[in-house]
Amino acid sequence: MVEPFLAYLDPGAGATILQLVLAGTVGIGALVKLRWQSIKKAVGRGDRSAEDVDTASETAQ
Amino acid sequence: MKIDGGSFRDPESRVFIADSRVFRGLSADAAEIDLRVRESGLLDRLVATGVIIENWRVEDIVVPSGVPSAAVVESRRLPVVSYPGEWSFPMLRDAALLTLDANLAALDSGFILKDASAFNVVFEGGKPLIIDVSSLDAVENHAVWTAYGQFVDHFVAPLMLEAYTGMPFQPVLSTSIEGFPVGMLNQLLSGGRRYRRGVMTHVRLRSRIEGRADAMAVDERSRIAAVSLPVSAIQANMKKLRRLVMKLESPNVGRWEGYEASLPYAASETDAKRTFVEGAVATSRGRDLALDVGANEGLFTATMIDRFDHVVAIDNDPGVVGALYTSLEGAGRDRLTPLVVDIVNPSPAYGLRGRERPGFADRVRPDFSTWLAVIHHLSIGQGIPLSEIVELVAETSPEAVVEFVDPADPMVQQISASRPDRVDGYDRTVFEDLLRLRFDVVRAEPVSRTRTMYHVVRRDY
Repeated sequence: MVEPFLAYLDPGAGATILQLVLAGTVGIGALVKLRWQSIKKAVGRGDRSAEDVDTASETAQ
Repeated sequence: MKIDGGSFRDPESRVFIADSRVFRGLSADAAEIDLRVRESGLLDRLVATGVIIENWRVEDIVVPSGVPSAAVVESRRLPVVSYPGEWSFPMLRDAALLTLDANLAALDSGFILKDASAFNVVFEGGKPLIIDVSSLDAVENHAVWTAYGQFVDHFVAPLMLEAYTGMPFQPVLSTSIEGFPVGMLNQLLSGGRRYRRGVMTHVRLRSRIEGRADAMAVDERSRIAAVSLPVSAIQANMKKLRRLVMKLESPNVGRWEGYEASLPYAASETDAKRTFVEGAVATSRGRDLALDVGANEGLFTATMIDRFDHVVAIDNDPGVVGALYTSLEGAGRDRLTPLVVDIVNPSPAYGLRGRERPGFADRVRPDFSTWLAVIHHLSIGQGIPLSEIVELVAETSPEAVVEFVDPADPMVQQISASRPDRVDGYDRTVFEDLLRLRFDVVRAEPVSRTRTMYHVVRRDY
Protein backbone atom coordinates (compact mmCIF):
# COMPACT_ATOMS: atom_id res chain seq x y z
CA MET A 1 0.00 0.00 0.00
CA VAL A 2 1.26 3.42 -0.93
CA GLU A 3 1.59 5.71 2.04
CA PRO A 4 -0.71 8.72 2.15
CA PHE A 5 0.55 11.47 -0.08
CA LEU A 6 -0.81 14.95 -0.49
CA ALA A 7 -0.84 15.79 -4.18
CA TYR A 8 -1.94 19.29 -5.08
CA LEU A 9 -4.39 17.74 -7.51
CA ASP A 10 -7.17 15.71 -5.90
CA PRO A 11 -7.85 12.64 -8.05
CA GLY A 12 -11.48 12.79 -6.90
CA ALA A 13 -13.58 9.95 -5.53
CA GLY A 14 -15.60 9.60 -8.73
CA ALA A 15 -12.57 9.55 -11.02
CA THR A 16 -10.82 7.02 -8.74
CA ILE A 17 -13.75 4.59 -8.68
CA LEU A 18 -14.13 4.96 -12.43
CA GLN A 19 -10.48 4.03 -12.97
CA LEU A 20 -11.10 0.83 -11.03
CA VAL A 21 -14.12 0.06 -13.19
CA LEU A 22 -12.11 0.72 -16.38
CA ALA A 23 -9.24 -1.43 -15.15
CA GLY A 24 -11.48 -4.50 -15.38
CA THR A 25 -10.40 -7.59 -13.46
CA VAL A 26 -7.52 -5.81 -11.73
CA GLY A 27 -9.81 -3.05 -10.57
CA ILE A 28 -12.47 -5.42 -9.30
CA GLY A 29 -10.18 -6.59 -6.50
CA ALA A 30 -9.72 -3.01 -5.34
CA LEU A 31 -13.42 -2.33 -5.72
CA VAL A 32 -14.24 -5.29 -3.49
CA LYS A 33 -11.83 -3.93 -0.89
CA LEU A 34 -13.96 -0.85 -0.63
CA ARG A 35 -16.91 -1.55 1.59
CA TRP A 36 -19.77 -2.80 -0.54
CA GLN A 37 -22.05 -0.20 0.98
CA SER A 38 -19.86 2.62 -0.35
CA ILE A 39 -20.10 1.28 -3.85
CA LYS A 40 -23.82 0.79 -3.61
CA LYS A 41 -24.20 4.30 -2.39
CA ALA A 42 -21.83 5.71 -4.97
CA VAL A 43 -23.73 4.33 -7.93
CA GLY A 44 -27.02 5.22 -6.29
CA ARG A 45 -28.54 1.81 -5.70
CA GLY A 46 -30.55 1.07 -2.57
CA ASP A 47 -32.31 3.45 -0.25
CA ARG A 48 -29.93 6.37 -0.29
CA SER A 49 -31.86 8.78 1.91
CA ALA A 50 -32.00 6.25 4.76
CA GLU A 51 -28.22 5.68 4.48
CA ASP A 52 -27.57 9.39 4.55
CA VAL A 53 -29.50 9.71 7.79
CA ASP A 54 -27.54 6.79 9.28
CA THR A 55 -24.21 8.28 8.24
CA ALA A 56 -25.17 11.66 9.61
CA SER A 57 -26.10 10.24 13.00
CA GLU A 58 -22.89 8.16 13.13
CA THR A 59 -20.83 11.25 12.40
CA ALA A 60 -22.70 13.18 15.06
CA GLN A 61 -21.73 10.59 17.67
CA MET B 1 11.83 40.10 -12.84
CA LYS B 2 8.20 39.01 -12.90
CA ILE B 3 6.40 36.04 -11.32
CA ASP B 4 4.08 34.36 -13.82
CA GLY B 5 0.42 34.88 -12.93
CA GLY B 6 -0.62 31.40 -13.98
CA SER B 7 1.72 28.91 -12.34
CA PHE B 8 0.59 29.04 -8.71
CA ARG B 9 -1.58 25.92 -8.58
CA ASP B 10 1.30 23.54 -7.98
CA PRO B 11 2.97 24.78 -4.76
CA GLU B 12 6.14 22.81 -5.61
CA SER B 13 7.16 25.13 -8.44
CA ARG B 14 6.62 28.61 -9.80
CA VAL B 15 7.49 30.26 -13.10
CA PHE B 16 9.20 33.64 -13.27
CA ILE B 17 10.54 35.74 -16.11
CA ALA B 18 13.84 37.62 -15.89
CA ASP B 19 15.59 39.37 -18.82
CA SER B 20 13.10 37.74 -21.20
CA ARG B 21 14.24 34.32 -20.00
CA VAL B 22 11.79 31.77 -18.56
CA PHE B 23 12.72 30.16 -15.23
CA ARG B 24 11.01 27.77 -12.86
CA GLY B 25 11.89 27.76 -9.17
CA LEU B 26 11.55 24.33 -7.54
CA SER B 27 10.92 23.23 -3.95
CA ALA B 28 13.33 20.77 -2.31
CA ASP B 29 10.99 17.83 -3.07
CA ALA B 30 10.48 18.95 -6.66
CA ALA B 31 14.23 19.49 -7.08
CA GLU B 32 14.92 15.92 -5.96
CA ILE B 33 12.36 14.50 -8.42
CA ASP B 34 13.74 16.77 -11.16
CA LEU B 35 17.23 15.40 -10.56
CA ARG B 36 15.95 11.81 -10.75
CA VAL B 37 14.09 12.61 -14.01
CA ARG B 38 17.29 14.01 -15.51
CA GLU B 39 19.53 11.19 -14.29
CA SER B 40 17.13 8.52 -15.57
CA GLY B 41 17.56 9.81 -19.13
CA LEU B 42 13.78 10.26 -19.42
CA LEU B 43 13.99 14.02 -19.80
CA ASP B 44 16.53 13.76 -22.62
CA ARG B 45 14.28 11.28 -24.41
CA LEU B 46 11.19 13.48 -24.01
CA VAL B 47 13.07 16.53 -25.28
CA ALA B 48 14.66 14.65 -28.20
CA THR B 49 11.27 13.32 -29.33
CA GLY B 50 9.70 16.79 -29.22
CA VAL B 51 7.35 15.96 -26.34
CA ILE B 52 8.65 18.39 -23.75
CA ILE B 53 10.34 21.77 -24.14
CA GLU B 54 14.15 22.05 -23.93
CA ASN B 55 15.10 22.88 -20.36
CA TRP B 56 18.19 22.85 -18.17
CA ARG B 57 19.30 23.48 -14.61
CA VAL B 58 20.80 26.93 -13.94
CA GLU B 59 22.86 28.13 -10.99
CA ASP B 60 23.39 31.64 -9.59
CA ILE B 61 19.98 32.96 -10.52
CA VAL B 62 18.31 35.35 -8.11
CA VAL B 63 14.88 33.92 -7.32
CA PRO B 64 12.07 36.37 -6.51
CA SER B 65 10.70 36.13 -2.99
CA GLY B 66 7.77 33.75 -2.63
CA VAL B 67 9.13 31.42 -5.30
CA PRO B 68 10.55 28.01 -4.25
CA SER B 69 14.31 28.17 -4.67
CA ALA B 70 15.87 24.76 -3.95
CA ALA B 71 16.72 24.56 -7.66
CA VAL B 72 16.06 26.61 -10.79
CA VAL B 73 15.30 25.25 -14.24
CA GLU B 74 15.36 27.41 -17.35
CA SER B 75 13.18 26.65 -20.38
CA ARG B 76 13.59 27.78 -23.95
CA ARG B 77 11.24 30.69 -24.50
CA LEU B 78 8.47 30.05 -27.02
CA PRO B 79 7.54 32.72 -29.57
CA VAL B 80 3.82 32.57 -28.80
CA VAL B 81 1.73 31.24 -25.94
CA SER B 82 -1.74 30.10 -26.97
CA TYR B 83 -4.59 28.63 -24.93
CA PRO B 84 -6.91 25.66 -25.55
CA GLY B 85 -9.86 27.93 -26.42
CA GLU B 86 -7.77 29.22 -29.35
CA TRP B 87 -6.98 25.78 -30.74
CA SER B 88 -8.84 23.95 -33.49
CA PHE B 89 -10.14 20.42 -33.05
CA PRO B 90 -7.11 18.57 -34.46
CA MET B 91 -4.84 20.74 -32.28
CA LEU B 92 -6.66 19.86 -29.06
CA ARG B 93 -6.63 16.21 -30.11
CA ASP B 94 -2.88 16.29 -30.82
CA ALA B 95 -2.28 18.00 -27.47
CA ALA B 96 -4.30 15.21 -25.80
CA LEU B 97 -2.30 12.48 -27.56
CA LEU B 98 0.94 14.22 -26.62
CA THR B 99 -0.10 14.29 -22.96
CA LEU B 100 -0.92 10.57 -23.05
CA ASP B 101 2.32 9.72 -24.86
CA ALA B 102 4.34 11.72 -22.33
CA ASN B 103 2.64 9.74 -19.55
CA LEU B 104 3.23 6.38 -21.22
CA ALA B 105 6.89 7.18 -21.82
CA ALA B 106 7.25 8.44 -18.25
CA LEU B 107 5.65 5.30 -16.78
CA ASP B 108 8.25 3.15 -18.57
CA SER B 109 10.90 4.98 -16.50
CA GLY B 110 9.02 5.04 -13.20
CA PHE B 111 7.47 8.50 -13.54
CA ILE B 112 4.05 9.97 -14.33
CA LEU B 113 2.66 13.46 -14.98
CA LYS B 114 1.03 14.68 -11.77
CA ASP B 115 -1.40 16.89 -13.65
CA ALA B 116 -2.92 16.95 -17.14
CA SER B 117 -3.96 20.55 -17.68
CA ALA B 118 -4.32 21.58 -21.31
CA PHE B 119 -2.54 24.81 -20.30
CA ASN B 120 0.61 22.71 -19.86
CA VAL B 121 0.72 22.35 -23.65
CA VAL B 122 1.71 25.16 -26.01
CA PHE B 123 1.89 25.07 -29.81
CA GLU B 124 5.04 26.08 -31.63
CA GLY B 125 4.00 26.16 -35.26
CA GLY B 126 2.16 22.94 -35.93
CA LYS B 127 3.78 21.10 -33.04
CA PRO B 128 2.45 20.82 -29.49
CA LEU B 129 4.99 20.86 -26.64
CA ILE B 130 4.62 20.27 -22.91
CA ILE B 131 6.01 23.32 -21.12
CA ASP B 132 5.52 22.27 -17.49
CA VAL B 133 8.74 20.42 -16.75
CA SER B 134 7.81 20.04 -13.08
CA SER B 135 4.70 17.99 -13.94
CA LEU B 136 6.89 14.88 -13.99
CA ASP B 137 6.61 13.06 -10.69
CA ALA B 138 7.71 9.72 -9.27
CA VAL B 139 5.04 7.12 -9.91
CA GLU B 140 5.25 5.85 -6.32
CA ASN B 141 3.66 9.12 -5.25
CA HIS B 142 0.53 8.13 -7.17
CA ALA B 143 -1.72 5.27 -6.14
CA VAL B 144 -3.91 5.79 -9.21
CA TRP B 145 -3.67 8.09 -12.25
CA THR B 146 -4.18 11.25 -10.22
CA ALA B 147 -4.72 13.44 -13.28
CA TYR B 148 -7.26 11.17 -15.01
CA GLY B 149 -10.26 13.37 -14.15
CA GLN B 150 -8.42 16.53 -15.20
CA PHE B 151 -7.31 14.91 -18.45
CA VAL B 152 -10.89 14.03 -19.37
CA ASP B 153 -12.24 17.48 -18.43
CA HIS B 154 -9.49 19.36 -20.26
CA PHE B 155 -9.22 17.24 -23.40
CA VAL B 156 -11.69 14.39 -23.87
CA ALA B 157 -14.88 16.22 -22.85
CA PRO B 158 -14.44 19.22 -25.20
CA LEU B 159 -13.41 16.88 -28.04
CA MET B 160 -16.50 14.73 -27.41
CA LEU B 161 -18.67 17.85 -27.31
CA GLU B 162 -17.65 18.77 -30.85
CA ALA B 163 -17.40 15.21 -32.19
CA TYR B 164 -20.78 14.10 -30.83
CA THR B 165 -22.91 17.27 -31.00
CA GLY B 166 -21.18 19.29 -33.74
CA MET B 167 -20.89 22.30 -31.43
CA PRO B 168 -17.38 23.83 -31.64
CA PHE B 169 -15.64 23.67 -28.24
CA GLN B 170 -13.84 27.04 -28.51
CA PRO B 171 -16.64 29.18 -26.97
CA VAL B 172 -16.80 26.72 -24.05
CA LEU B 173 -13.03 26.74 -23.42
CA SER B 174 -12.33 30.40 -24.20
CA THR B 175 -12.56 31.54 -20.57
CA SER B 176 -12.41 28.19 -18.78
CA ILE B 177 -9.59 27.28 -16.42
CA GLU B 178 -10.70 23.68 -15.83
CA GLY B 179 -11.78 22.55 -19.29
CA PHE B 180 -15.33 21.32 -19.79
CA PRO B 181 -16.43 19.36 -16.71
CA VAL B 182 -17.99 16.02 -17.70
CA GLY B 183 -21.03 16.78 -15.54
CA MET B 184 -21.94 19.56 -17.99
CA LEU B 185 -21.21 17.43 -21.04
CA ASN B 186 -23.45 14.75 -19.54
CA GLN B 187 -26.39 17.17 -19.71
CA LEU B 188 -25.89 17.56 -23.45
CA LEU B 189 -25.34 13.94 -24.44
CA SER B 190 -28.87 12.57 -24.24
CA GLY B 191 -30.74 10.15 -26.47
CA GLY B 192 -28.64 8.19 -28.93
CA ARG B 193 -25.56 10.27 -28.13
CA ARG B 194 -25.15 8.49 -24.80
CA TYR B 195 -24.22 5.36 -26.75
CA ARG B 196 -21.36 7.01 -28.60
CA ARG B 197 -17.88 5.68 -27.87
CA GLY B 198 -16.66 6.43 -24.35
CA VAL B 199 -19.75 8.32 -23.21
CA MET B 200 -21.22 5.62 -20.94
CA THR B 201 -18.05 5.34 -18.85
CA HIS B 202 -16.06 8.58 -19.00
CA VAL B 203 -19.10 10.86 -19.04
CA ARG B 204 -22.26 9.24 -17.67
CA LEU B 205 -20.85 6.87 -15.09
CA ARG B 206 -18.32 9.38 -13.81
CA SER B 207 -20.91 12.17 -13.57
CA ARG B 208 -23.19 9.83 -11.67
CA ILE B 209 -20.51 8.68 -9.23
CA GLU B 210 -19.29 12.24 -8.70
CA GLY B 211 -22.82 13.43 -8.03
CA ARG B 212 -23.10 10.80 -5.29
CA ALA B 213 -19.55 11.34 -4.04
CA ASP B 214 -20.48 14.83 -2.87
CA ALA B 215 -22.72 13.23 -0.27
CA MET B 216 -20.12 10.67 0.90
CA ALA B 217 -19.02 10.59 4.51
CA VAL B 218 -15.42 11.40 5.38
CA ASP B 219 -14.48 7.77 6.15
CA GLU B 220 -15.78 6.61 2.79
CA ARG B 221 -13.76 9.27 1.03
CA SER B 222 -10.59 8.25 2.85
CA ARG B 223 -11.19 4.61 1.95
CA ILE B 224 -11.47 5.57 -1.72
CA ALA B 225 -8.40 7.82 -1.47
CA ALA B 226 -6.42 4.81 -0.16
CA VAL B 227 -7.24 2.66 -3.19
CA SER B 228 -4.35 1.84 -5.49
CA LEU B 229 -3.92 0.37 -8.95
CA PRO B 230 -0.87 -1.42 -10.34
CA VAL B 231 1.13 0.59 -12.88
CA SER B 232 0.20 -1.91 -15.59
CA ALA B 233 -3.50 -1.12 -15.04
CA ILE B 234 -2.81 2.63 -15.22
CA GLN B 235 -0.93 2.07 -18.49
CA ALA B 236 -3.78 -0.03 -19.86
CA ASN B 237 -6.31 2.70 -18.99
CA MET B 238 -4.15 5.30 -20.73
CA LYS B 239 -3.81 3.17 -23.84
CA LYS B 240 -7.58 2.61 -23.98
CA LEU B 241 -8.14 6.33 -23.64
CA ARG B 242 -5.59 6.95 -26.38
CA ARG B 243 -7.53 4.72 -28.78
CA LEU B 244 -10.72 6.63 -27.90
CA VAL B 245 -9.11 10.05 -28.49
CA MET B 246 -7.66 8.87 -31.84
CA LYS B 247 -11.13 8.02 -33.08
CA LEU B 248 -12.75 11.38 -32.21
CA GLU B 249 -13.37 13.41 -35.37
CA SER B 250 -14.92 16.83 -35.83
CA PRO B 251 -17.80 17.21 -38.26
CA ASN B 252 -16.62 20.81 -38.81
CA VAL B 253 -13.05 20.42 -40.07
CA GLY B 254 -12.66 20.32 -43.83
CA ARG B 255 -15.94 22.09 -44.54
CA TRP B 256 -14.06 25.08 -46.00
CA GLU B 257 -11.49 23.15 -47.94
CA GLY B 258 -11.30 24.54 -51.45
CA TYR B 259 -13.19 27.68 -50.39
CA GLU B 260 -10.52 30.05 -51.61
CA ALA B 261 -10.18 28.22 -54.91
CA SER B 262 -13.93 28.57 -55.43
CA LEU B 263 -13.90 32.37 -55.09
CA PRO B 264 -14.27 34.39 -58.29
CA TYR B 265 -10.77 35.85 -58.26
CA ALA B 266 -8.66 36.00 -61.36
CA ALA B 267 -5.24 34.34 -61.02
CA SER B 268 -3.62 37.62 -62.10
CA GLU B 269 -5.27 39.39 -59.15
CA THR B 270 -4.06 36.77 -56.68
CA ASP B 271 -0.56 37.04 -58.14
CA ALA B 272 -0.56 40.85 -57.93
CA LYS B 273 -1.73 40.62 -54.33
CA ARG B 274 0.98 38.13 -53.45
CA THR B 275 3.66 40.25 -55.14
CA PHE B 276 2.53 43.29 -53.14
CA VAL B 277 2.59 41.39 -49.82
CA GLU B 278 6.00 39.92 -50.65
CA GLY B 279 7.37 43.40 -51.39
CA ALA B 280 6.12 44.78 -48.07
CA VAL B 281 7.34 41.74 -46.14
CA ALA B 282 10.82 41.97 -47.70
CA THR B 283 11.31 45.47 -46.28
CA SER B 284 9.62 45.01 -42.89
CA ARG B 285 11.39 46.74 -39.99
CA GLY B 286 10.67 44.07 -37.40
CA ARG B 287 11.50 40.44 -38.04
CA ASP B 288 10.27 38.64 -34.92
CA LEU B 289 6.55 38.05 -35.18
CA ALA B 290 3.97 38.50 -37.94
CA LEU B 291 0.21 38.11 -37.71
CA ASP B 292 -2.15 37.21 -40.57
CA VAL B 293 -5.64 38.42 -39.66
CA GLY B 294 -8.45 36.45 -41.33
CA ALA B 295 -5.91 34.01 -42.73
CA ASN B 296 -8.43 31.49 -44.05
CA GLU B 297 -6.47 28.67 -45.64
CA GLY B 298 -3.26 30.66 -45.33
CA LEU B 299 -2.95 31.51 -49.02
CA PHE B 300 -0.84 34.60 -48.22
CA THR B 301 0.52 33.55 -44.83
CA ALA B 302 3.29 31.53 -46.43
CA THR B 303 4.89 34.70 -47.87
CA MET B 304 5.88 35.71 -44.32
CA ILE B 305 7.43 32.47 -43.06
CA ASP B 306 10.93 33.11 -44.42
CA ARG B 307 11.12 36.69 -43.19
CA PHE B 308 9.84 36.37 -39.63
CA ASP B 309 10.96 34.14 -36.79
CA HIS B 310 7.34 33.20 -36.23
CA VAL B 311 3.97 33.77 -37.88
CA VAL B 312 0.55 33.51 -36.27
CA ALA B 313 -2.44 33.00 -38.58
CA ILE B 314 -5.83 33.71 -37.04
CA ASP B 315 -9.33 33.12 -38.31
CA ASN B 316 -12.61 33.00 -36.45
CA ASP B 317 -13.68 29.81 -38.23
CA PRO B 318 -12.44 26.74 -36.33
CA GLY B 319 -12.87 24.52 -39.40
CA VAL B 320 -10.59 26.71 -41.52
CA VAL B 321 -7.97 26.85 -38.78
CA GLY B 322 -8.14 23.07 -38.40
CA ALA B 323 -7.62 22.61 -42.14
CA LEU B 324 -4.66 25.01 -42.14
CA TYR B 325 -3.14 23.22 -39.12
CA THR B 326 -3.36 19.78 -40.72
CA SER B 327 -1.91 21.08 -44.00
CA LEU B 328 1.22 22.56 -42.37
CA GLU B 329 4.53 21.18 -43.58
CA GLY B 330 8.20 22.15 -43.78
CA ALA B 331 9.08 25.58 -42.38
CA GLY B 332 5.38 26.30 -41.81
CA ARG B 333 5.13 23.37 -39.44
CA ASP B 334 8.03 24.81 -37.43
CA ARG B 335 7.09 28.48 -37.44
CA LEU B 336 3.43 29.05 -38.37
CA THR B 337 0.89 28.74 -35.56
CA PRO B 338 -2.75 28.83 -36.71
CA LEU B 339 -5.23 29.92 -34.02
CA VAL B 340 -8.98 30.33 -33.71
CA VAL B 341 -9.28 34.00 -32.80
CA ASP B 342 -11.86 36.59 -33.80
CA ILE B 343 -9.92 39.85 -34.17
CA VAL B 344 -12.96 41.91 -33.14
CA ASN B 345 -13.52 39.73 -30.04
CA PRO B 346 -10.09 38.38 -29.03
CA SER B 347 -9.64 36.06 -26.05
CA PRO B 348 -9.88 38.12 -22.87
CA ALA B 349 -7.73 37.84 -19.73
CA TYR B 350 -9.23 35.36 -17.26
CA GLY B 351 -8.61 33.18 -14.23
CA LEU B 352 -7.56 34.40 -10.78
CA ARG B 353 -7.82 38.18 -10.48
CA GLY B 354 -8.17 38.26 -14.26
CA ARG B 355 -4.41 37.72 -14.50
CA GLU B 356 -3.90 33.99 -14.51
CA ARG B 357 -4.36 33.83 -18.31
CA PRO B 358 -3.56 37.07 -20.18
CA GLY B 359 -5.66 38.14 -23.15
CA PHE B 360 -4.66 37.48 -26.76
CA ALA B 361 -3.47 41.06 -27.37
CA ASP B 362 -1.08 40.84 -24.40
CA ARG B 363 0.37 37.50 -25.50
CA VAL B 364 0.69 38.14 -29.22
CA ARG B 365 2.44 41.41 -30.07
CA PRO B 366 3.34 41.27 -33.77
CA ASP B 367 5.80 43.55 -35.57
CA PHE B 368 3.83 43.21 -38.75
CA SER B 369 0.27 42.23 -39.68
CA THR B 370 -1.76 41.57 -42.83
CA TRP B 371 -5.46 42.38 -43.27
CA LEU B 372 -6.43 40.89 -46.62
CA ALA B 373 -10.10 40.81 -47.60
CA VAL B 374 -10.97 41.63 -43.99
CA ILE B 375 -11.92 45.33 -43.80
CA HIS B 376 -15.24 45.03 -45.67
CA HIS B 377 -16.31 42.13 -43.44
CA LEU B 378 -15.70 44.25 -40.35
CA SER B 379 -17.20 47.43 -41.77
CA ILE B 380 -20.25 46.25 -43.71
CA GLY B 381 -20.63 42.78 -42.26
CA GLN B 382 -20.32 43.79 -38.62
CA GLY B 383 -21.05 47.52 -38.67
CA ILE B 384 -17.70 48.62 -37.23
CA PRO B 385 -16.82 52.22 -38.23
CA LEU B 386 -13.77 52.58 -40.51
CA SER B 387 -12.13 54.85 -37.90
CA GLU B 388 -12.34 52.03 -35.31
CA ILE B 389 -10.94 49.55 -37.81
CA VAL B 390 -7.91 51.78 -38.54
CA GLU B 391 -7.39 52.15 -34.77
CA LEU B 392 -7.55 48.35 -34.42
CA VAL B 393 -4.88 47.92 -37.11
CA ALA B 394 -2.67 50.55 -35.44
CA GLU B 395 -3.02 48.89 -32.02
CA THR B 396 -2.31 45.44 -33.41
CA SER B 397 1.06 46.18 -35.01
CA PRO B 398 3.26 49.13 -36.02
CA GLU B 399 3.50 47.96 -39.63
CA ALA B 400 0.81 46.37 -41.80
CA VAL B 401 -0.52 45.46 -45.20
CA VAL B 402 -4.19 46.32 -45.60
CA GLU B 403 -6.51 45.56 -48.50
CA PHE B 404 -9.49 47.79 -49.23
CA VAL B 405 -12.25 46.38 -51.40
CA ASP B 406 -14.53 48.90 -53.12
CA PRO B 407 -18.33 48.81 -52.71
CA ALA B 408 -18.61 47.83 -56.39
CA ASP B 409 -16.76 44.56 -55.85
CA PRO B 410 -18.99 41.46 -56.19
CA MET B 411 -17.89 40.14 -52.76
CA VAL B 412 -18.81 43.42 -51.09
CA GLN B 413 -22.11 43.56 -52.94
CA GLN B 414 -22.92 40.12 -51.64
CA ILE B 415 -22.39 41.25 -48.04
CA SER B 416 -24.04 44.64 -48.49
CA ALA B 417 -27.17 43.26 -50.18
CA SER B 418 -28.78 42.73 -46.77
CA ARG B 419 -27.23 45.86 -45.20
CA PRO B 420 -27.39 48.61 -47.85
CA ASP B 421 -27.40 51.22 -45.04
CA ARG B 422 -23.84 50.31 -44.09
CA VAL B 423 -22.37 51.12 -47.52
CA ASP B 424 -22.84 54.89 -46.99
CA GLY B 425 -19.66 55.66 -45.05
CA TYR B 426 -17.75 52.83 -46.70
CA ASP B 427 -15.50 54.65 -49.14
CA ARG B 428 -11.91 54.27 -50.26
CA THR B 429 -10.94 57.96 -49.98
CA VAL B 430 -12.45 58.13 -46.47
CA PHE B 431 -10.47 55.02 -45.54
CA GLU B 432 -7.27 56.45 -46.99
CA ASP B 433 -7.67 59.71 -45.05
CA LEU B 434 -8.19 57.76 -41.84
CA LEU B 435 -5.14 55.60 -42.57
CA ARG B 436 -2.95 58.67 -43.07
CA LEU B 437 -3.95 60.04 -39.66
CA ARG B 438 -2.20 57.11 -37.93
CA PHE B 439 0.18 55.76 -40.57
CA ASP B 440 2.64 56.71 -43.27
CA VAL B 441 1.56 55.00 -46.45
CA VAL B 442 4.75 53.45 -47.81
CA ARG B 443 3.06 52.16 -50.90
CA ALA B 444 -0.47 51.94 -52.31
CA GLU B 445 -1.37 49.94 -55.39
CA PRO B 446 -4.53 48.67 -57.06
CA VAL B 447 -4.46 44.91 -57.65
CA SER B 448 -7.72 44.87 -59.58
CA ARG B 449 -10.46 47.25 -60.67
CA THR B 450 -12.04 47.16 -57.18
CA ARG B 451 -9.19 46.25 -54.83
CA THR B 452 -6.36 48.39 -53.45
CA MET B 453 -3.44 47.33 -51.29
CA TYR B 454 -1.70 49.57 -48.73
CA HIS B 455 1.64 49.04 -47.01
CA VAL B 456 1.53 51.25 -43.93
CA VAL B 457 3.91 52.11 -41.07
CA ARG B 458 2.59 53.69 -37.88
CA ARG B 459 3.73 57.30 -37.47
CA ASP B 460 5.25 56.68 -34.03
CA TYR B 461 7.23 53.60 -35.15
